[in-house]
Amino acid sequence: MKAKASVYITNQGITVNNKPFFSDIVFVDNELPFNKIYKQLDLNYPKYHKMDNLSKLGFLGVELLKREIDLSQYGEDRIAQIFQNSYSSLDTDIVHQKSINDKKMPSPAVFVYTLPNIVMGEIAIRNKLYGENLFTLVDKFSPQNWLELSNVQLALGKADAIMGGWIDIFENNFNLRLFLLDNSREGGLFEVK
Amino acid sequence: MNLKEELKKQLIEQLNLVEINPSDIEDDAPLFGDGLGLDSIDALELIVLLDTYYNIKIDKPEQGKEIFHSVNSMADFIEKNRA
Amino acid sequence: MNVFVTGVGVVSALGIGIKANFKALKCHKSGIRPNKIIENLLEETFVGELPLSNIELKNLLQVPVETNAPRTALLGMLASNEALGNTLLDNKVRSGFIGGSTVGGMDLSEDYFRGVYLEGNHENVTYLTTHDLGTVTDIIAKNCGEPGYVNTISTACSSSANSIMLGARMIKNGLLDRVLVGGNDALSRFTINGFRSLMIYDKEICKPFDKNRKGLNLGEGAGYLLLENETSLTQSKNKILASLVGWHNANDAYHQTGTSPEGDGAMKAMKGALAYAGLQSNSINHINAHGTATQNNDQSELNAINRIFGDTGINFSSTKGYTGHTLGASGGIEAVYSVLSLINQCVFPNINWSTPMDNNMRKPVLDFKDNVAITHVMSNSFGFGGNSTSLIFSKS
Repeated sequence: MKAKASVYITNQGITVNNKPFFSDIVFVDNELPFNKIYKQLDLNYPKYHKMDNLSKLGFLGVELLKREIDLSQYGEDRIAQIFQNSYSSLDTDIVHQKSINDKKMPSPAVFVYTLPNIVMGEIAIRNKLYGENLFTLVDKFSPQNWLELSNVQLALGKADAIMGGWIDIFENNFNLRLFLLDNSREGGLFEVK
Repeated sequence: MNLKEELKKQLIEQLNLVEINPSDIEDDAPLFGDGLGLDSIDALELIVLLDTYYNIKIDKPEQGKEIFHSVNSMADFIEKNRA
Repeated sequence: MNVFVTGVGVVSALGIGIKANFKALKCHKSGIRPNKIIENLLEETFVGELPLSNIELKNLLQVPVETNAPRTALLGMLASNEALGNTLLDNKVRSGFIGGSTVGGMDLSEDYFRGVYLEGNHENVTYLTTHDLGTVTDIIAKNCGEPGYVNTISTACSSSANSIMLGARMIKNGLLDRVLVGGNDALSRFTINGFRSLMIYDKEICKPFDKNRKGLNLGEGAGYLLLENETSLTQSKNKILASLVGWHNANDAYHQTGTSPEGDGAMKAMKGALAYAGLQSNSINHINAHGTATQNNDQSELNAINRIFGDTGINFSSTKGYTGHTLGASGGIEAVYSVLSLINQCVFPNINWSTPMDNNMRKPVLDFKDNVAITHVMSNSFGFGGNSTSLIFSKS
């Protein structure tokens, strides 16, 4: 089964439906490009700035996906989110741990992001998605595993579309492989990998 | 720099209000509600701000409602309570 | 394809094993006390702690003391051993293990960082090798046998409920015959400090659903269920304890950690589980509520219960006054308690309650009751990130 749309945001750049996107944004080593992407997308969403890096990555991926697919064609609880990663929320966990080590008052705004599934919450809040959401931890992206879970959801009629894939970040290394699958037989062009 | 100007800068930094400038925040405008769109986590971050910058400890979040009403009320509270 | 529950195992502040937990639940004896095993907290804290050190747990498990195993894994091994009993997770049937956790090996990792920061001591660097959630699952899964399918779910406080749901779904869809599902989490300074910063931590024993509740107490533990289909049962010859008949997961889509005032996510989860089970709301005899004792959760959850059950009375209780909020383990532990309700035809009370919430006519079950006809029990788990899950178990 192939995806109807795919978005990759990695250290190598952005690809939407297998074509380079925003190629004028320069990805610099040791600097995350997310704020540049946010600016280029011209979104008026101040809550973005409170997110941690994992949530920013997922949020921006979905904003790019929405340029290719109209999510409103599916009912508000008919899109299920299924994501996998290996680092969980370690990128933010370290910040929280540091404040404990430094005996400073821990920041509640940081603690809130010390769970990997919060990115799905941010995507749900932004896009008013009330459907199922699942986050699993694996060593590396298993497209087969992800497709199997997704197909079961669709076959059961628990969702009409699955949005998700692989979303991993640690310090300056990030890798988002976001896909949208639905029940339609046609239009699936993008291999899940 | 006076306390209120200092406070506005600290608010912007502590709450990640990236798209806001100090001049956008009026002294007597409500911080919560429509104003800056702050939420319950922001209220907790303001408690951290009081502790970090002014050494004032608050242990009941309910006290926050009055204290954090506006920049004016925050400045008043800080003047009265700073250690 | 039915999903049968044939094994249950639990560890919590109430003790190790079903017997110890049942006894405390029946006698209204809370396991929440000032911390003893976990050290170096900023102040004395009420926690739902199993009062045994990691060394004592390793001895019970007959695991060599020098083995690198975080507390979360030790708790998980105790509970999963009990749930599995003599059944094997091997390739004679299609078997699996799905664990839910949020803390993982954090108890050892934070000890390592403490050593580095305070003493420049790097000698415990091996503690980091068991940090991640998947490694904790692997340790427990390997202890259980050789399951063909292993997965780890991390969705905050609904992690182990979602593990149960995923396992059930895989059986229902003919992908697995036998699966051990649930989860575990140990106490850690990371989480205690974090919840403190959110100012939702009670300085005394928590009061779920009480008007004057001041927040939660964190707890630790593990809860596992063994789920089987008919094929697996023919081979294992296990006794059926209950059936898992309904499940649903939804997102509240309101706030990263707070829940919507009307309990949208909770309502959708409960409604969806009922619909999937083909049951009307008045079929539910008891709800094991999420009931963390925060102002926010209990209000939202009660509003959601009112939306589903209308004017009908419904028995509900939170067992977090006994165990504390065990985070990723809560769905598993509370699923076990729900099955115990069905096996023993009893309801567990909501202890430490005295005053009803404003504008609300419902009060939780206050006393342990047995000789009650319990056919269907619902168990709720609502996690940060809006992740809301409801499970329904039925008498076999």
